[in-house]
Amino acid sequence: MKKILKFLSYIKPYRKQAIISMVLLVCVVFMDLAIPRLVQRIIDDGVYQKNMAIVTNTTLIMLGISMLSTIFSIANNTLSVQVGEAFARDLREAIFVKIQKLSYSNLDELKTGDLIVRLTSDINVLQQTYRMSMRIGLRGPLLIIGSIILMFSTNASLTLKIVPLLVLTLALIVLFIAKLGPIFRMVQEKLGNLNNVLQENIAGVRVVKAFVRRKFEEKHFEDVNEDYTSIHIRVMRYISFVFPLLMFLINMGVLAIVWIGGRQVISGTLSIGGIVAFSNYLMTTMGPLLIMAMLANIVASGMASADRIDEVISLVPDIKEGQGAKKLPKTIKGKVQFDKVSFFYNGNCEEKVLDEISLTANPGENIAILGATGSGKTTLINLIPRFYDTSEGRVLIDGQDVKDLEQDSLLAHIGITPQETILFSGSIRENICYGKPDASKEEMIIAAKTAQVHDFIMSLPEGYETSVSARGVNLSGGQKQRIAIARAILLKPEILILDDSTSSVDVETETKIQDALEELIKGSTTFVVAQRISTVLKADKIIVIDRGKLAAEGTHQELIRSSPIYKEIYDSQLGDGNQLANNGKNKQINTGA
Amino acid sequence: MAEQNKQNKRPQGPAHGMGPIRGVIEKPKDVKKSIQRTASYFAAYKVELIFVFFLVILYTLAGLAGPYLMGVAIDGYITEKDLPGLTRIALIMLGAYLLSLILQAIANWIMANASQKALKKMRTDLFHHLQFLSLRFFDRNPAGDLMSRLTNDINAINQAVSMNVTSL
Repeated sequence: MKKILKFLSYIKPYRKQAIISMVLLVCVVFMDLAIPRLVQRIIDDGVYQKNMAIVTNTTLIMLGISMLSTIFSIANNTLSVQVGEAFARDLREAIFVKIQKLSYSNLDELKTGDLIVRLTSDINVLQQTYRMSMRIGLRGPLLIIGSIILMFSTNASLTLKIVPLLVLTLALIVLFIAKLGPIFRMVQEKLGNLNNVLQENIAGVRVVKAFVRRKFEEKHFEDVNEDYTSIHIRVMRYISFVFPLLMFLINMGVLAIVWIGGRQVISGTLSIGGIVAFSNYLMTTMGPLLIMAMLANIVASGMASADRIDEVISLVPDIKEGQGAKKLPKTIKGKVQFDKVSFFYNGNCEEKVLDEISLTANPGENIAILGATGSGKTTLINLIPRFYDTSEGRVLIDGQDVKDLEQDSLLAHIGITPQETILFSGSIRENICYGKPDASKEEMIIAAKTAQVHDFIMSLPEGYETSVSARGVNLSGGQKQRIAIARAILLKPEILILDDSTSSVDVETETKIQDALEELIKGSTTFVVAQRISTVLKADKIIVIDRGKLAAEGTHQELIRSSPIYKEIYDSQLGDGNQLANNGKNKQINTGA
Repeated sequence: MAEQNKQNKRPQGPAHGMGPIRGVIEKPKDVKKSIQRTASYFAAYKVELIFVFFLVILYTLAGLAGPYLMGVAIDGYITEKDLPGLTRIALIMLGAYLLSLILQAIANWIMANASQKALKKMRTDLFHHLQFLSLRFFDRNPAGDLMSRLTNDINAINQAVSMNVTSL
């Protein structure tokens, strides 16, 4: 419940509409309450006194009130829908912004499918909760209280006899909320599971097909589907029993009025009109109760969803700018130092991903990082833009610890091509200019030429305006990688990180890219993570990482003599280690180091 | 549509993916076919549905008996000051309401099982179908859209079904 109230703050900007909607609702309640009184008047003063004028007048008044009440109800509905939708939009946006702010390690823990459920289904549920509360949440209690007062004034003793029934109904509703809340949470969780399987399958459809795992995946889906269905059936069973039961309690009230009230009429303490008005009041008391039960159902699900949304909203990004974080100047030299850097996940220092690595990249140097899969290369370069924080030691840019810098100012100087090439749906131009949307056409073309992708783009019918479908499926791996490289170098960053970003590019093109890069960003410090030794031959400094440790450091010439690991990698890829290898570029090597 | 305008004026927030993805209200291409297909999932529960149909008629009648009996009670017994008659009719009303309660609960219960199982089958079939679609299909259809169809859209059917069938 607390969580539901917490998200009320998102309604604040729409306070005006929300309040008007509530006021309208109160008016509707008063009008609704007036109706039974008027009915009583028609019966007692009109019909029984045979006074046609009263009957006609009162009927007209009732008609007017009903119409006004309808109009107000419509306005209330419209406003509450508007507020609800605006609220949902803002909340979705808040979560989206939140997700953007989360660090890599936060994101590692979230599953896409589940996150999507939280962003869509859970927000919808919460929105519905607010909207329905605005529409009936106030109306119900008001109607109930008003009716009880009016009933009391009509016939106190009869009212008192019905009170236990009301208490019973309320108790039933409270029990209902308490029971259903946890189940609704499970429903959303199971839906999250379902979506996870679904999302993985759609994203990995190629793998599923290639490995003929359809049957297995269908079984997997069947399991989560069954889970979701059975929990849903559990909810429906509760509801299917509770509502008829509430209806029954209301009917018991009517019965009590007829029987007890009937006896009072017979003994002369109540009029016939009194009975009718009374049963009308009872209906206006119990009717809202029934609606409240429906609201209870919605509130219960809203509580569950509010919890789940809150779990995302209140996630603390574990990478935050410190108080008084410094801005990097507009241009920096680009010196990068690792000072005894260690890294391990979740405080598990037994298994260090990186182990006391110290190294210096001077401005303009080209550093190549070599090592087996899982040796920690990507982790190492992810520390430079502070995607993760070091567990021990420091990463320094121009002598300043990245932890002391403003994130945006740090990232403004770093261009990255991540290992997994992600393109967005949109045109090739939009993708290349992603980091600098206002780049000129010339800048874009230079970047594309450097990445050796310009000619290819121009060969497409629509050139740079060719649209890239989601995830870039209409491009080859190498083409995507080159577009991603163009995207990074367009920024002309002082520090450029290429994480195995030419793995799908043939060696010849790769060499061309390297040569062109050298021209374009002479002053930039470049980190190139590579599997192929041919990629690293010309680097100013080659770093070999082995199981998280810095195994060797030096130029190709130095390492081939001094480092056994390097020589082993070299031999396995380019053959005879005694041969000096400037000719490596003509050989195609595919094996990982 | 003031809301719409306001939405357009608002800043779009931080970098989303590219390209405007605007919701368009999609109309079923062939309403009749869509309904037929949806209905076919419920056809598997024909027996249950027919049973529920009768139950609904019965409990509606039992429910309607209430107000009718109330009228009878007022006109026939209360105005006539017939106390034993009033008690008798009150007991009949009690019976009618009880009957309505039981029938309604049974109908809802059956409906809950049948509709959820039908929806489950629908999800299973959709998933199964997805497995046989070509890669070209996946290239053309964004994953997000497919996800939405498989979950949100089926839930929309769910709501329509569970809200309406018994109320009808």
